[in-house]
Amino acid sequence: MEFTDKAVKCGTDKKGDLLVTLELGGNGREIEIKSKVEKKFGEAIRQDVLIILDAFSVNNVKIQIDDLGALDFAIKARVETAVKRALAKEGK
Amino acid sequence: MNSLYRTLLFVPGNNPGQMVKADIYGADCVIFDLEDAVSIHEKDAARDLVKHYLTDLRPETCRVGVRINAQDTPYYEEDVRSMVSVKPDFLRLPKSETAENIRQLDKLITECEKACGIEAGSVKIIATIETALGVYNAYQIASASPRMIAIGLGAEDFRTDMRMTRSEDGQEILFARNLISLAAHAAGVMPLDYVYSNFKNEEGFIADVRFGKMLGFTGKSVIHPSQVPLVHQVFTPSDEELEHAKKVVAAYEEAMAKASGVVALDGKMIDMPIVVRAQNTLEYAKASGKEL
Repeated sequence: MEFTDKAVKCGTDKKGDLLVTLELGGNGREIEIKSKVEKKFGEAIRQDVLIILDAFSVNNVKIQIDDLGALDFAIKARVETAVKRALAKEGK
Repeated sequence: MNSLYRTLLFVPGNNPGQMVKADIYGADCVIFDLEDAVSIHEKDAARDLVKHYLTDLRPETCRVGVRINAQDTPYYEEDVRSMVSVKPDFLRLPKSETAENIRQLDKLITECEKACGIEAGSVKIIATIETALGVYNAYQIASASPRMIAIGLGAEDFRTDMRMTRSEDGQEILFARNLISLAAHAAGVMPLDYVYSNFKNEEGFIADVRFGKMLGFTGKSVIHPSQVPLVHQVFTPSDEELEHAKKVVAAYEEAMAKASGVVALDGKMIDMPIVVRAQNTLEYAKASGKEL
């Protein structure tokens, strides 16, 4: 997934955490998940991302998730922070 | 969950890997830290992590608090607003120097509780005192709000503020520790002993906890899980102390049942302070899992 300098990041590459790269814009929601457990938990991770995007009414966005075995709370938190940072960057 | 605050374990608020393990070490309280453990670039991220953690995975076996940033920082207000929404047991305010600091925090918590539909007074306050002015005002701070449940000394910042030379056994902070304990007891809140940061020095740590207990502290802030059982061990009454406490309380209850004004044990008069100390001993023993 390619990003411009409008993209924001949140999180770390430590075990139990995740790194979120997020850029507002485009057409629809593009979500890419990189995780060792993607086969088993990919859909659950996607649902966590969608919960936050819905909460902030973000419909046009590109998100890359680099997951290091994060639990749901961490995924939702990191995506929320990334969304807020991106909105702040756009002055919203 | 016991009723004691023997150990308050600090856990960085921006490390999900550590946060999920926070409640497995047996501490009476876990404090998620938004202050010193979090860089100024990650304050927003830490807030969101703690908020979602408390929403999804709030521990049921210990109390949960959050150390917010000080009132003179740009993070303070948002810390309070976002944390009150997930109803921690308490907020811990660093750099508390005056009663006004506490009254301002009380006012903001009240406003947030109302906005979130949380029962008024649910979120308590623990004040960390870490300057000369704060120690000087300890009693006013401790008694500034009905939300106050404890005060504690932030030793490193206090040493800096006082231009003290640091000693291994903490002689230089003795007066402050005494004053914090005195002020807390006078105000009817808990005195919490300072963080002993050299967690590898087990012997020095145990001696320090024992000394703090002798000064009247009822619990200690800790920064490493290995310190939790050591504090509990010091605060757990010995079998001898427990047996004596049981006898004192039994003698007191017998005297009360007989409507006798005099309580005696083994031919000696027992004053009320001795009965209260015995009751405290039983409470600590119970919390420590001892058979009563």
